[in-house]
Amino acid sequence: MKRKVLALILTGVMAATVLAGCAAAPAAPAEPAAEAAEEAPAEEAPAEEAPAEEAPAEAAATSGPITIHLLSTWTQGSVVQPIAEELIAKFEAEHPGVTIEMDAQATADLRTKLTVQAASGELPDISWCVQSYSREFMKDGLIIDWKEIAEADPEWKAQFSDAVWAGLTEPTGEITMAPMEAAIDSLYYNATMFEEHGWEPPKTWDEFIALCDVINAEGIAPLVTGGKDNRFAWMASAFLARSAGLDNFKALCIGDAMDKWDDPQYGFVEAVNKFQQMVDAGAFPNGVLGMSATEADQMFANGEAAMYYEGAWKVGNFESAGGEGWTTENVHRIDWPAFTDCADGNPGTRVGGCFTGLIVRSGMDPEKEALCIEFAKEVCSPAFGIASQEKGGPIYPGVAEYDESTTLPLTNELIQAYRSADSYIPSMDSIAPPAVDLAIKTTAFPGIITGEFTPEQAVAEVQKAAEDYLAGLAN
Amino acid sequence: MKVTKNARATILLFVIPALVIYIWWVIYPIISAIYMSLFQTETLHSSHFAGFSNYMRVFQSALFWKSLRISLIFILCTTVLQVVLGFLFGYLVYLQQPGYRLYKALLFMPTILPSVATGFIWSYIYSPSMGVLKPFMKAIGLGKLYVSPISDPKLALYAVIFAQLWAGVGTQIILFNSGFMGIPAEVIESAKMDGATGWKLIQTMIIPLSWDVIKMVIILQTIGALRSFDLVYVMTAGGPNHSTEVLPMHLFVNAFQNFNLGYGNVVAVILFVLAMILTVTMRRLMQRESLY
Repeated sequence: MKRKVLALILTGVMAATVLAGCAAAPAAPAEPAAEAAEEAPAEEAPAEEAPAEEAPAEAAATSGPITIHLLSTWTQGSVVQPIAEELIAKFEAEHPGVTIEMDAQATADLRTKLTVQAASGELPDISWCVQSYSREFMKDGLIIDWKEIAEADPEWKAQFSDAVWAGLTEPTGEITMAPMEAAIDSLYYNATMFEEHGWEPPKTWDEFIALCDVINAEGIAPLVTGGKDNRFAWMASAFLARSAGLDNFKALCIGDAMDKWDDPQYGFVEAVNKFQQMVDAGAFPNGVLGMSATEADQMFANGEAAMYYEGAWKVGNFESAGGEGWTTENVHRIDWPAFTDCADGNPGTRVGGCFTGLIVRSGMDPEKEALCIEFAKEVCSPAFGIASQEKGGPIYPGVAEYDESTTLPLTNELIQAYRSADSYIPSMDSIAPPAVDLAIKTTAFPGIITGEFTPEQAVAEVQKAAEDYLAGLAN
Repeated sequence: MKVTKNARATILLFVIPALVIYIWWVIYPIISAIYMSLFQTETLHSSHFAGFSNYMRVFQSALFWKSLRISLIFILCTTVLQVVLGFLFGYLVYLQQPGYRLYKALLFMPTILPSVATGFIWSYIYSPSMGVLKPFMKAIGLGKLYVSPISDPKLALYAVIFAQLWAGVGTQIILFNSGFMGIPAEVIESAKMDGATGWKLIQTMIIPLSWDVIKMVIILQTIGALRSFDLVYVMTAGGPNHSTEVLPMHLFVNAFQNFNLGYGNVVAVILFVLAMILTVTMRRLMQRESLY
C-alpha cells in the first residue's frame, strides 16, 4: 500500500510540473524554448554614426541605481543590434546609475515570452509589442497610456503623422504604444531570374496563377514562405483586403461581423477559394509546411524560389541569406496581385502601417517610469529609426526625411510603397482576435496546403474559432 | 518500535521544511490549476467563475481529441521502441564485446544534447533547403520526390518520434545496462552451465532478474512521453495542421498564444489525471515484484 502511495506521490510531482506551467505561480516565468530564428539576422558592420541625439551638457544622475529591463527583437547579429547597443551605451552614459538589461528574442518567441510575463504580472519595463497584444495588456492596466505623454510633448508627437497616431489610438481613446516600426507588405521577386527567363512580375491574380505554371516548368518554386513558422498572417490580410475590401475586413476582425467569416458577403470565403487556387497551381514548393522562415530565405536567395511574400523586415534577412548587396542586384518588390473579379476588394490597399511599437510597464516608481519613457522616445526618434532603416532594418514610421543614397535600394522601394499606399490594413495577427488568427494560419491555410481541408472546411474552422471566441466574451 | 512524543516532535521538525517547500511548489500549483480551470478568461488578469464550462469546451473540441490521440500514439511508439531498443542495445553493451566502451559512448552521446538542440539538428536534417536528406535523394536521382517528413501530416509525427528515439534511447540503454550489471555473475554462469544461452538466457534469467529496472524504465518513459513538449515545439510547433500537436503543445497554444488560460488549465488537469491513471494502470499490470 505504502509503495502505491509513494508511486502516486511521485507521479503527482512529475505531473505537477505540467500543471505549474499554467497556474498563476508566483515564480518567474519559464523561458520559452527557442525555435528556429524565424527572422534570421543579417551580418552587418556596426553603424558608423551615432543614432541618438547629442548628449546633454551634463549627465543627469538618478537618486540610486536603476535597472531597466528591455525586451526587444534586436537579436545578436541583426542589423539593428549594433545601433541599439550604441544607443543603450549612450543612454547609460547620460544617466549615471541607470543600467539597461536587454533581452532580445525573435518575434514569435518574444510574443510568447511577453504573454507569459504578462500573465504572471512580470512584464519587462520596456518591450517591443504588436498592437493586438498591447490592446490586451492595456485592458488589464499593465502598460502606460501614451496619449497624455504625446500631448505633453508636441515636438515628439509631430515626428509622426496624424495617420500613425490615429492608427495607434484605441476606440476607447488610449494609445498603447510609442510608434517604432512601420511595415509594408511586398511580393518580392528575383528580378535577375525574371529577366533571364523573360517573365513579367504579375499584377493580377490571373497573371500570377499563369506564371506559377511557367515557373514550375523550369523546376523552380514560384513562391516560398516559412510554413513551419505559420507565416500566413500577412498573406491572409492581403487576400482578404483584395477579396472583401477594407470595410468588410474590419467588420470581420474588430467590427460587427465577427461571427460572419462563413458569410460570402464578407469576402473571406472567396479569399480561401483563391488560396486553394494558388495551392492547386503549385505556387508553394513541396514541403513548405516543414520549412522555417530562415530556410525559406535561403531557398529564395539560392535561386530555388522565384518569389517571396512578406513584410519589410525581410530585406535584412535576404541580405543575410544571399550576402551583402544581394538584394541590390537581384530583388524588387511589387504589390500582391489584384483580384480583378472581386468588386468589393481594395487592390490598392497594402498590408502594413504602424502597429508595432514600444510598450512601457505601468506601476513603476515615477523616476524609473520617466527614464523608460525617455529611452522609448529615443528609440522612436528619427536618429535611431533612420539609422536602422538605412541598414536594412524596419521602416521608420515617422515623417523624417532620409538620405536615399545611403539606404539599400530595396528599402527605398519599400519606403516609397509605405508612403504612397492608398490605405493600410494590419496583418491578420495584429488585428484579428488571436483565436481567429491562429485558426487561419495554423489550421485553415495549412489544412488546404496538406489537402486535408476543402475551402468550405477551412472556412468552417475559422468560423468555429470566431464563434468560440465570441461565446467566451459573452459568458 | 515505540515512537515517543519527543521523537515525534523531532521528526516533525525535520519534515516541516521539506513539507512546506513541497506544498508550495507541488501541491499549491496543482490546486491552483484545478481552481483556475473553473474560470473563464476575459483578459490575462480578469476572469469569472464559469463552473465546468471550460471542461465542456475542451471535451467538445475536435482539436483536443486529436491532440489526445496524437499524444497516445507518441507515448505508445516512443515507449515501446525505446524500451525494446534500450533493452537490446543495453544487453549488447552488457556482453562486453570488443570496443563496447566506444559503442556505449556513441549510443549515449545524443542523450547529452538538450531537446532543443536535437530538434534543430533533425529539423535541418529533414530540411528541403539546407538538409542532408534531400542532397542524398538527389544523388540517387530521386531529388524531385523528396518531401520533408515534417511537412507531411501523415509523416510528421513519426519524424518527431524518430528524433525522440535518437535522443532518448541512450538513457534507456544505460539504465538497462546498469540493471544487467547488477545481476550476480555466478548466477548467469550457473545458468549457462545448465544450458541457458542466447534467447533462453534472456528469457529465463535476464528479464526476470532485471524486472524492477524494466518496470521503472517503462513508467519513467511513459510519463516523460506524456509531458513531451520541447522537441515538438522546435521541430514542428505542433504542425502541419496540428498533426504533431501533443497535449502539452495544445495546452501551450491555448494558454499562451490564444490567451485562454482557463482552457489551458483544463488541459493541464487532464494531463495530471492521465499521468495518474497511466501510472496506476501500469503498476497494476506489472504488479509482480519479481518474475521469481
